[in-house]
Amino acid sequence: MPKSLTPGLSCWVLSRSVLAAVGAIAAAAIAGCGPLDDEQSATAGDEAGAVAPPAAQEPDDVDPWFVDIAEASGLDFIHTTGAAGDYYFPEIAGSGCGLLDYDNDGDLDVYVVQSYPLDGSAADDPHAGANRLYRNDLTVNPDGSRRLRFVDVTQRAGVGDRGYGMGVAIADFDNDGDTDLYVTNFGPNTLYRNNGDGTFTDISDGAIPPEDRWSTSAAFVDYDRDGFVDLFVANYVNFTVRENKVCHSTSGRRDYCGPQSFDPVPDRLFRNTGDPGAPGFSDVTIAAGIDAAYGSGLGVVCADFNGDSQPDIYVANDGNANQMWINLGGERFENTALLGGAAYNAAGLAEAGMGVSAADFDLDGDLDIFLSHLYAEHNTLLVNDGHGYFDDRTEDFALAAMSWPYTGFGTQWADLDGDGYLDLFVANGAVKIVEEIADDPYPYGNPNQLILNLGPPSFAFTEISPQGGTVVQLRETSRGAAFGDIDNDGDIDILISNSNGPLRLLRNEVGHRRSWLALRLVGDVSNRSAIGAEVRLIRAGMPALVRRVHSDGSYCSANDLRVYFGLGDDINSQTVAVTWPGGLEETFSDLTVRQHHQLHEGSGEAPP
Amino acid sequence: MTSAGRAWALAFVVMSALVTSMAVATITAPGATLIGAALPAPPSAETSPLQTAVNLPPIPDFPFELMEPAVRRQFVEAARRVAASPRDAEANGRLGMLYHAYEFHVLAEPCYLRAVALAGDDLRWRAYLARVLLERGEWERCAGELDLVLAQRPDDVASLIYRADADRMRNRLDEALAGYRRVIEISPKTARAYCGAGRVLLRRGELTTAVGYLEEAIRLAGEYGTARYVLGQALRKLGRAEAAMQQLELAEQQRNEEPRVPDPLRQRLDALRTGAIDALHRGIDLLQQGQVEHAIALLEEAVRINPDLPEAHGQLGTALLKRGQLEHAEESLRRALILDPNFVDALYNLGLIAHRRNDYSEAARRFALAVSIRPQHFDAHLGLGADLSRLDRADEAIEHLRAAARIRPDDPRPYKRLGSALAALGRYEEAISRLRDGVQRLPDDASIADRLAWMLATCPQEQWRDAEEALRIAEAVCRRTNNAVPQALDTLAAALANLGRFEEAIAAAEQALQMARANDNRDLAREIEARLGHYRAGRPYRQPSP
Repeated sequence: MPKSLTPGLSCWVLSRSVLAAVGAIAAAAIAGCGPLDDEQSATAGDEAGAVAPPAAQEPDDVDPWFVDIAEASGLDFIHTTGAAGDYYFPEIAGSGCGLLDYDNDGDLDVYVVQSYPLDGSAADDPHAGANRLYRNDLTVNPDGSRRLRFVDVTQRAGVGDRGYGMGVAIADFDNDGDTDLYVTNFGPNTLYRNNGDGTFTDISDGAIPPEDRWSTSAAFVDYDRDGFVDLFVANYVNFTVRENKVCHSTSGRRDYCGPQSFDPVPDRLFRNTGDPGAPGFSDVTIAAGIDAAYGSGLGVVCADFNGDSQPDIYVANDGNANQMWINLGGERFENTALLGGAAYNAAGLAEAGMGVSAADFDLDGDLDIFLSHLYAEHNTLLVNDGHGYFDDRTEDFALAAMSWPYTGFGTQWADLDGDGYLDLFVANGAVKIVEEIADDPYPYGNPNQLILNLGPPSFAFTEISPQGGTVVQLRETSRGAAFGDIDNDGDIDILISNSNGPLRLLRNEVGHRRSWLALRLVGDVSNRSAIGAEVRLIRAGMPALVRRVHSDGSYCSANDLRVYFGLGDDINSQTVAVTWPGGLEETFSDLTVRQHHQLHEGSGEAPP
Repeated sequence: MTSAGRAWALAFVVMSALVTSMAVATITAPGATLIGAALPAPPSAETSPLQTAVNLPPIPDFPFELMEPAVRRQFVEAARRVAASPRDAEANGRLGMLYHAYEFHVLAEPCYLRAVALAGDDLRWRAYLARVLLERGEWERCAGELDLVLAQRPDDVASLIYRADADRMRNRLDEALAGYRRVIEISPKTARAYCGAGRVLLRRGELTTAVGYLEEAIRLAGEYGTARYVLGQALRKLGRAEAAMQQLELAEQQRNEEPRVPDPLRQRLDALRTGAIDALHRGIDLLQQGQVEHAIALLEEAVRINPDLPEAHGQLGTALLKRGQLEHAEESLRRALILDPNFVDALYNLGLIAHRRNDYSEAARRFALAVSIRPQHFDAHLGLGADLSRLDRADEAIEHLRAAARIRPDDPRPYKRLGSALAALGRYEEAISRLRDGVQRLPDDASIADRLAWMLATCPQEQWRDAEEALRIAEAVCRRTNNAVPQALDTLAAALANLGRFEEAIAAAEQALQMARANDNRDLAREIEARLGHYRAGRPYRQPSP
């Protein structure tokens, strides 16, 4: 059944030849969604953001993978850098976005970070720089069709932080059953505690040591495995507005400076004090040894990289060595990036680390790292040997050429077509003037990229866009990208924040056509968000598919805490093995496919 | 370039290759080893009937008014020539070179394509096209162009290396290895070829062979960070972690750029860059490499071309300061500050000049201004700590030294200066405490440990002295420094005297004195002589009370 596209919508498209390469779409289809969908209450609204029910279908000759539905679904956010000709460095850094279910209604809401003019020209504007929270009023009709409608609830929720916004991190840091927020800024950061009634309280004063440097990405991680998530904050450079520097392109045109014009500043680690009644964090940066090395931090991802069950921390730095903080038992960390092959690229060169993501793309059971970088550097794939030692295998996997012309920011491993193999999405946008569009008012646009993992045995990659078809491609200055199932249809959608541009919500049009399984983990002894849990989907005669519960990674953004398994054409009930952050191992069996399931710590079976 | 433009370019390459392959048969290769060293004579603007039939890509359009004036003039003139004679290969190629030189790679490509189409028998344009494709990451097309170049110049080292690089980047490891080995045959001292071969062999898992190639690359090039880094990774995989770490740490210290391939075409591109910004960037590079004289020449050129660039004046001031020309440096730095009153590095360097003139009051004022603009300016805090101490404003100095320690907790200087400043105020307990912080933080730094031992041995107030600990630390410092540092031996002598072991103290002090004299450190020698008098009289040495 061909899909009709609303005129003006922007899509990525998938040609028949590419689909043939990745395998046929599952013939079997199960209408409707799982238990969580059934809880949705129908709400009134126009047809904006509506989508047809999932059904088995052959793709059209030119079949879109994604359709931008931001504006149509009520996401009217437009980012501004506040640039007015002074070329303040934070203006080109852009900002991120987040996906979280703040009201516990079973669907993902949207948090977007905003900036304002740094020259002070908007000082009297009470709305300038305010971040926005959009509530998702998702409707699932009896026939399985969906209607997405977002409502701006910023004011009521009290989360309109007005700092010069960079990023957002999410987790239930007080273990009270709802998702809290940490907002990073060029300037003081903000900690919001979710009150559980649709509102938040800014508890920055007193609950966490102030961090007023230029922070970028942040990540919640329970590094000491005490059942409360701690917080890692990546900091960038020591830029000040007063000390703005003047930089030029080689031809003498005024342009933004790079990070080399400024000194990097140290990152910080905050330990959760573990008092649910009076939640708070203490600064353990020095005690944990995190201050022993630092660079111009932009990306961070926390996971167990060396297989010792302790969460480690990997920091992507812009123009200097990356850090791999190996957890030495829950109190201290050691940076092993240099010997471990994770500090530099294959030539020993520091690259402009922006976004970062970690996942087991090659099904060998360990976590590999993908980093997005500057134009003429290429993005980098670091393949793990299982012990926390990495090889730069970018060239082996033919990932170098496709990223060479662009500057990458938000990125994530995600199974976007539901075949079980983790693909890559990279949100691109230049930081120096793009010569082909030099006379544009904002000449930093790059197309974003969708890169398909062809799976075993080679796990080769092929770029789906821009070669995918004829639909006009978005060419914007993308920065943050958050990944999650915004319409609960079993595939991963993408929220993209653009510098000086509109927010984009790319609804996945293909992933849900295949079989899938979605899981929300709820910790009991472990942290309530279950951040750090590892989920292995057991497959007879084949390697397990490994996913982890996290919201970190990408660039300055927060992702869906649920985990997704694309299952291709497998419609049988599934079994997963879960290793909880606290160490408990359990299996959960007989999980019906094409449904969302909630797994509670301690309610599974002991592993055989 | 749009996807449509990209597709067009690909189609065009096929056409232009066809044109050239037909033209190649009529050319006699002169056998030069470097493209550009002996170029075929440029053809006239007249073209063959076949070439005329080829559709040319459009001349790229660019808003030259955005460029700085000196660069704009170059581009306007080159573009004018193309506009006047659009089918003149030389004019098109020259415009391409200009775009290429200023790193407008996307715009350089169509100019070169036009030049190739219009004069396929002039190998320069295809060679330049290959280089710009390499820099754009278009390795497949680059390899195709280089093949055509190499068909006529099979021994061209630059083309062979670029071809092998392109093969390595697109995962054609066998061809890449063969290419690097071919370069080694032709030009056995080309370090880049050894390093390239080593990188390929590492990826193929042939670790021992890789190590051999990489060691040779390092032997040939000296400081070659990339080769050392790759060698470190190979050694790590061979299980030689200690040797690996040694190479990796050296790689971090050395410039990681590949040695440049001998390439006359590339040199011609470099020579085209004449703008102030280019001169400024190259001047900064040279300054960072310690080539002060060459840096000054370029920075003066940048100032001459564009006198309104604060960075150019500031960097020139820094370079002149490094050469010791304080007055000229001050003039440049003041000019930078007029253009940008918040140019904090210029302020800091002006403070440094005042400090060198012993004008501590003015130095402190300038450092304080720098700190007010950049509160995290480590060096300015450190400078304030030193100069405010000299101005008897020890309390303020201590605050700045504490700030410096917070900013860079791994730098030993704030701890040592804090120790001295606090001791000068008679706050010995705090002084010892800060020095202990430093020792704990930087256990491998002998200088802080020495300062702590000195304080524990010579503190005028008895309750803060600890003779046993002072000796233990002093002995450890002397061991660590192989008894070769006079200050450490001086501390050891003080610690021994403190325990009544005067004969040993005298021996250590005499050894320290000898070294201080040999090092021409007269101040230290005088101080040690005075302390020797105490030891010979059977008295330990005590610091004077404030």
